[in-house]
Amino acid sequence: MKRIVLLAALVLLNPACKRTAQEVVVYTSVDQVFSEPIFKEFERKSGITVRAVFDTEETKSTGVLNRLIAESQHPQADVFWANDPVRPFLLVKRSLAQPYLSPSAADIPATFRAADGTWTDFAARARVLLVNKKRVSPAEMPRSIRDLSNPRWKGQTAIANPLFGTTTMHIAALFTMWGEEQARAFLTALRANNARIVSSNGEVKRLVATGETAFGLADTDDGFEAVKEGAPVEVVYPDQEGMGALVMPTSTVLVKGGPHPETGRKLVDYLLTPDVERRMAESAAHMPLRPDVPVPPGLKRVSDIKAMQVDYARVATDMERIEPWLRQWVGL
Amino acid sequence: MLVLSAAGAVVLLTSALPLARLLTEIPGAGAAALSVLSAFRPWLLLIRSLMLAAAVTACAIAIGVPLGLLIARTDLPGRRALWMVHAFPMFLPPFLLALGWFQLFGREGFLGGEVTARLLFSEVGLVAVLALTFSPVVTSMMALALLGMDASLEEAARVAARPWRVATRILLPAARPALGLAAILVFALSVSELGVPMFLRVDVFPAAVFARLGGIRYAPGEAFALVVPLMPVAIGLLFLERRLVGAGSFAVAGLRGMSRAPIPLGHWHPALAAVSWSIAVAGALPLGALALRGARGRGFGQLPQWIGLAPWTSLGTAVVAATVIVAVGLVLGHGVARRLRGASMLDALAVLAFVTPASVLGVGLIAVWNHPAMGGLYASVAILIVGYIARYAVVGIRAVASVVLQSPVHLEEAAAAAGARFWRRLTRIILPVNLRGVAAGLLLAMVFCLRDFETAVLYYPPGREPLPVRIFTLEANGPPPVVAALALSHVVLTAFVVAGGSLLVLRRRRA
Amino acid sequence: MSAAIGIEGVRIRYAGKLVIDELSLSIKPGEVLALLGPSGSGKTSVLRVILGFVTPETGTVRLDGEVASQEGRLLVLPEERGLAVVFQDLALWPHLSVAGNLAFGLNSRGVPRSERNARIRSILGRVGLTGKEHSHPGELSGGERQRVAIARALVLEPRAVLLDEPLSNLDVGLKRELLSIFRALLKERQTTALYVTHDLREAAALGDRIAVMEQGRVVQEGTLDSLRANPASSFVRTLLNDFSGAGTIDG
Repeated sequence: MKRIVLLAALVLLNPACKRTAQEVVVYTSVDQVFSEPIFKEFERKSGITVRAVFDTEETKSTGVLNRLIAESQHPQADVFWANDPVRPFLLVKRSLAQPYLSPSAADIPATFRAADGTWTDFAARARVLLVNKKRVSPAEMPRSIRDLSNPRWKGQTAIANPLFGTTTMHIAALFTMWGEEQARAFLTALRANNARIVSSNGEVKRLVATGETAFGLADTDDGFEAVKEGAPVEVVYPDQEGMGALVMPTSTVLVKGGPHPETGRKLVDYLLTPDVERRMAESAAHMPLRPDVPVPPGLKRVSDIKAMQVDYARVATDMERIEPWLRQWVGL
Repeated sequence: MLVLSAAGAVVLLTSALPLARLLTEIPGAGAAALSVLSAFRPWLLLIRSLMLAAAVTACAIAIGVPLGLLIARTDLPGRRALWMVHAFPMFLPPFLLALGWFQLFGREGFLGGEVTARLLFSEVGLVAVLALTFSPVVTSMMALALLGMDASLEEAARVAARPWRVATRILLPAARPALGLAAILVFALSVSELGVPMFLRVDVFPAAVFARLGGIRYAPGEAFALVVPLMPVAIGLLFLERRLVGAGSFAVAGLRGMSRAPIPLGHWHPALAAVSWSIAVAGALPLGALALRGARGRGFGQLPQWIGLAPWTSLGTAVVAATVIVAVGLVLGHGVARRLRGASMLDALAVLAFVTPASVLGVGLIAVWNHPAMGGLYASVAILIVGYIARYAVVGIRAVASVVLQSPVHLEEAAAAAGARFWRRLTRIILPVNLRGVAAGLLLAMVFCLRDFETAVLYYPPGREPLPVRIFTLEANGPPPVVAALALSHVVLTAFVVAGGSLLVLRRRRA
Repeated sequence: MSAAIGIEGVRIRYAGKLVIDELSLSIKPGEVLALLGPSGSGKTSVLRVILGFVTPETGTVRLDGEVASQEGRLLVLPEERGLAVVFQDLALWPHLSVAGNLAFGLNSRGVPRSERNARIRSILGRVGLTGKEHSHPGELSGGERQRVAIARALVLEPRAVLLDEPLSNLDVGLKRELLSIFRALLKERQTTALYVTHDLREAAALGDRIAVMEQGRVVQEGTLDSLRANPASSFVRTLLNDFSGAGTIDG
């Protein structure tokens, strides 16, 4: 018995002892199903072992971030790969981000990277309108998110609960773009228009795909999936004549004081290559930020659309600020 | 004395330190932490959680008591097999079963539709899933108590009364301590359950705590403030246990009663058999759904690509942690059984660590162990072991206490009088005399570590996640067949451990 | 010379109830004292306080003059007292063979291997268990188990052996046979012993002296003859009546 335990302990602790081997620790809120294959590819190419911590569906985009903060006394992660461009600011605010200007990022548009190198974005999703083509004629096709509150579609539109996920960020971005008064008026109009508030973007996709609602607000990857599944769904990038569609890149941060700064930089360099943007486009329907990365049919590049010009740092602040009001609005 | 202190130190270091460390966070968080307690919503959630747990406990009793009685004392066909099928799900992480129910009754499930999905993702679904998952605890403890009961008690009654009267007036009252303990255990498991309510999107108290640690805002001070109202609950449970269950609480004996003349069910036979088997099969249904989903979507083929080291991490850490848990349990459980005051206090502490929301314990563990002075411990699998010991030490203590209470104290005293010191008595007399029970405790502790998800999810070492954590993280947008296949691998792993362990435990039977 | 076992003014309370009150007793080296009393009189508590499993609330327990327990304090642990015990249920360790049961205490006390084996062989021969070394307790008859129990105690060559009604559940024939073995063993080794019983026949057969206990106190002490001459209580008188009616067990 004792011998078995000893053996088990040896086997278990072995990787811990091999600290000298090249490795890198990454925390990511990008779905494991998409991010892990990319880490494996990096391992294959660099010979560096990637040790990853992933988020769960329920703690999406917040779990690993909180862990980073909890561990801030003695950081364990080298790299944080966020699934939205806002969370990194929470690390920057706490001085947990190590400035790093990756050579791979040189051809990423300047709006998508911090001048001081504390964060760098790539592979993005955008907020889009999913429209059921059977219920909406081409002439009536919505073009702006303001159409969600158009009385023509009373009771026939849907958005996800804005307290969670990407919808929170989208609403916060509206507050940043439009200012307090206009944004509140829009949300009140949404309510008055009986827009359905459902549990998730996936639910919005399902409602539109089955025709239960005429159109709704969701993410590009939801739309991509709906089309791939053969649903009669058209993906509309909203406000192309106006403020543009909200683009939500994933974002990399080198963690300050992480255990392997050297390999950490290498992983950031790798993540920011055009090749990874291409992979994310293929596997996860993420839009490349670079204008020259090939994309699968049906997916656009960020350069192909009009993107909302919004300061993500301000969105981050607004997001925290409007939370109580949003809570009230939802009625929780 | 030295041995006792060492065992005590393990519990203090793993369980008490993280909780105490968080206590120091409260002043820092100050007014914010306290304002959480003055708000209305947390209290509402706590009451909700307590009511949901009470409902789960009531349902589990309603299922478990009759089933335990039928299994232990009647001529129900295939009652051993029935017991095994019915009991198995309780060894699995509850959210894994919820995942199975989702494959069945979710909107796109095999039997699912709009209505079933809405029902599943509601309080009703939560209570049903947890009640079916935890009812085997009641069934098994009832059955074990009845099987261990003195045969003459029952035979004296059989001479005078009809079977129904024997069952309700003699057997059930005699099994009351076991029932009380089972009810308390089910209540504690339900009230601290996080994975299933999160998955079914039902708001509960542990989720409110978790939200402050893993959710929207990171506020450990607030989270710990929220643990404060749980203390009276934990203390209440302990008090109830000692009061209601008393010294007899541990008296859960072996299977010697299985050979006793069973009570004939008469013309109720077919109906009761059908109902019992339906319940047992219903409990195992989600596993079938997972298997079907995994097979249909070719999830099993993709398993090698996604499973990684997770099963080995799970198994290895569970073996080591369970061994330490039982070693500590041997010392402290023995102390509890022999009513040493220090041991009883440590036992109470272990109970508290078990009932405290796992996420709080998790953040406390980060605060204590993520320190440069600890070397690589925090970032290695060792932290998983530390966490398991902290949360599940109570399993070892109680398992050992129950067997030691049943072995004559004279065996130890004779050894002491013969000149054997504590350590020698412990290893040469108490351990071998109670070997079966201790082995059963080891198995139980392993199962608890294997089914853990909530504790580990907050601090699992990068790249070395246990299998349930991997299932849960991959569940986010992962292909359902792969997730189902992974879940089923966990089922198989657990089944192997339980089956292998049971064989070892039962083989050791002495004349 | 100081007493092998000396108890002075000992008081013991269980759950608030006084079970031993101001009790004093002493056993000379080589003497066998029979402690006689009805059930519930506190006999077993006396045995347990000497062994060190119970700490006296007041009073002192001395072993060869050395204070072992005193007023709520345990100065010498049970395993350091150099005593041996035979319980009513015998408490043979079920997982150890006969030889293992005997060797356990010798190993605990650091007796070298060669001496250990010689002592085990000799005592097993003496109680008629040669050839049963490798049997387990579960495989032995009732009488054989009794012999293992006494052999296990005596093989330690303890400063005293304490016996707690070891024969109370046996039939008359077996009891008679074992009493004579016990007596012979204790006498030939000059072993100090305390023999706790509720049976005057056993007390008379084994005890050099008899101490009678009632309700936590020693009410009378002396030889069988002195008890006969002057019975101090109705309990002693009843016992004596039964005793003379049935005759002695042991000649």
